[in-house]
Amino acid sequence: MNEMGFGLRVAEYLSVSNRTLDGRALERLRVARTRALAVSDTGSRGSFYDDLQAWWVRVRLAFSPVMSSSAMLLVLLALFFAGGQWSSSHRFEAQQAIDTALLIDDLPIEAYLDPEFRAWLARESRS
Amino acid sequence: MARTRIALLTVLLALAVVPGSASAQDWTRLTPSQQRVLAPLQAEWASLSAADRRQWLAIGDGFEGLTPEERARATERMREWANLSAAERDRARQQYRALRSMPPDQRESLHEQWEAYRKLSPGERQGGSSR
Repeated sequence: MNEMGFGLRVAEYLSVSNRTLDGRALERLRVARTRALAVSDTGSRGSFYDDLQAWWVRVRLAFSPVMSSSAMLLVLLALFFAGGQWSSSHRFEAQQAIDTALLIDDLPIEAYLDPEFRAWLARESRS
Repeated sequence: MARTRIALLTVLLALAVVPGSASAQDWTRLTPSQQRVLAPLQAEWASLSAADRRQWLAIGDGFEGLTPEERARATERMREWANLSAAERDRARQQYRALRSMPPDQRESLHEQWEAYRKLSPGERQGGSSR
């Protein structure tokens, strides 16, 4: 993990942790952050690539809670979809096994389509 | 970052289990072996739904494990089965499950009983005993 990634990870943990802080602590953090950003802005300018990375980090920080929720939603949707597919695939296999059995069975398909045959068999077994 | 990776992996896994498209099941795209096994269905293949085609391809794949007698019987019944409505097929599957769950001694004599049943008049089938 590079420096930027590490910073991002720390920022994400801090974003999650600050939900439990009271208003005064949050305000102090906000002021400290503003100061740090001001110092950062007046510091030496990096290359275009550094600026781009810094901009990306700000975007990630700003959208971190949203992205986190979206990722969770995506995972849930994907799991739901995969679960549906697995269930449908399981049904498909079971149905295919019965269809094959019906095609090769010693009884003709007609026997399985006749609703009276089963009732007649039941009566015959009782008599 | 890790969450995004997990999300992407999950989506890819979900997509991996999606069945192939209907165009991949066109008759001309079937392998010679699949075409040979499913030959009785060639005329109506284009009119079959994607789900039906998938089902037939799966059934065709299982032909290798059948005896020559079973293969011949299946080939003979293919068109009859393909021409049934979805409701009729469901009814046949239900009846199959029910009849196959009978005690073994009754199950073994099913063919004879079917032959006996076929010889009965409609009235005898519905009410009276053949014995």
